[in-house]
Amino acid sequence: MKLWVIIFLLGLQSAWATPETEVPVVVEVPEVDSQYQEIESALADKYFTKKPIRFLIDPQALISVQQRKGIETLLDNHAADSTIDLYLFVFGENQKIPADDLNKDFVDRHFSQGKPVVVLYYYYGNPNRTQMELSPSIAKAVSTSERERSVQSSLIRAMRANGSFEQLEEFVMQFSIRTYWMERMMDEVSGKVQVELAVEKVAIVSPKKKRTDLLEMIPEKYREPASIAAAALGSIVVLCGLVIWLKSRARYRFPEIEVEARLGGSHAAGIGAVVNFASPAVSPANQREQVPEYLRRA
Amino acid sequence: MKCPRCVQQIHRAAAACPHCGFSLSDADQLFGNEEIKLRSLTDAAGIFRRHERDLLEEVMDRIAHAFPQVFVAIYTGSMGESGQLRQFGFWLLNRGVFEDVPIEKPNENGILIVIDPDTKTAGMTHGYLLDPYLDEKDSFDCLSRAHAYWLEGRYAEGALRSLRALEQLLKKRCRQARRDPEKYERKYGKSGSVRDVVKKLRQHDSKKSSTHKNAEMEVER
Repeated sequence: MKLWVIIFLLGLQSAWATPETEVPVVVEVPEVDSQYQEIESALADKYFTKKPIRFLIDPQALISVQQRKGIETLLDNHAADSTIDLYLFVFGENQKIPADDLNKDFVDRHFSQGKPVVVLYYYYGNPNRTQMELSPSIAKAVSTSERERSVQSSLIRAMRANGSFEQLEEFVMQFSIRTYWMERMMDEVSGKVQVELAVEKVAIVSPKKKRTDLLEMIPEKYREPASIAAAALGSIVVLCGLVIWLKSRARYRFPEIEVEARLGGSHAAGIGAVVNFASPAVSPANQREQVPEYLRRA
Repeated sequence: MKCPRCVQQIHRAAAACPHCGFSLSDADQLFGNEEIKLRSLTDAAGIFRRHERDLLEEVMDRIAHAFPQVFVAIYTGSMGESGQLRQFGFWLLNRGVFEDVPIEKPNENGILIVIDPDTKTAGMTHGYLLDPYLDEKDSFDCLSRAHAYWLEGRYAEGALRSLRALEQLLKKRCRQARRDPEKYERKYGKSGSVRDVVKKLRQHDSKKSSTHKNAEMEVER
């Protein structure tokens, strides 16, 4: 009997249990970089040891002298116009940067201070492999999506061109344009910070400053009498306000005097004045003496 | 004190005018002898706009609040002949039942302003409570404040001016009455009994005789 119960329970359990979903197995496929050849250390030193003097770094002379001039002019002009400098490291199509040299500390080491910098590792003839590094000040401000957009749009432009140099040229030109948006993002971030700081300053500093300004406007020898006069004026204003308030709350009661009724009126016989406003020629002054109509002069 | 019909001076206890014989019964014959129900602001002539009525009621309430014994009423309508305005005011304050006035404020505590836009006249009547404190000149001063406005047909503005002047005047009279209530008592109070009159006369005589004696003594010296 117990066995049956156990079998039944096991059956129930299996029925209620959610079907096991197939967990996709992510297989990390090692990057096939056997086709790329790591550059020699001596060459790598030429690229990464010193802080670059020029914006184009091409120790292998992969670009011709004339072409180099064109790219350098382009990068120089960009540096003159933009707040972000663009450093272009040119490698061979199938070359590979040693992991040590591509360490993040290269940019940190050389560009952590000063003007914001974008470093591009461009593989001449194969722009799809382009890598980008940003100096810390840009990395803080520019989102990852914007970085990706910059590279992607530059790649699209580059892929439209046919020759390797033309691709490079297009890539650099487009990237130069994209840095404008990076600048904007940096400005926004710094602007926000500045505005916040300014608001805090106004909130904290301005009341004190105003007070001191007011006092400073008055010559020193008159300051004491002026403050006494101001206090007196303030107390007068308060006093006047109090008097007005008390007056508005005041109640007026007439002493009740028993008056004899007359003309048969139980409530009133106090005939007051009558004013005629038929003609502007008859002013109130002319009507002051109340007389019967038949006695009035026409 | 004047008669509402002939505007002649009358005695303060006259049952009827000694000149023309006018009394409330004469006014009843003209306007009816039954009590009429009305509100303290009755615009029978339709000369006030809604917001103007609100303004007037606000000022009237303010006066009623500041003077707990007194209320102010305004009636606009056609009286027919201009000479009947005084009689109408006298009659309305005696025969009118003001529905929105608290019961502790009888008509003798009221001040009634009557405006007739047809005959272009306005008058002010008050109850017995204010008889010692307000006279014809006072009510005339209050009404004359409105004259310029009423000439142009700006009835509400004129009435507001009048009410404000009346408020100030009442405050002034109240202060005066508080300072010297006996003055008003002597002038306007009910005349006392025969015994009181004799007492007054004796006091007067004794004063006179004492001053006479003093004078004689001085002469002897």
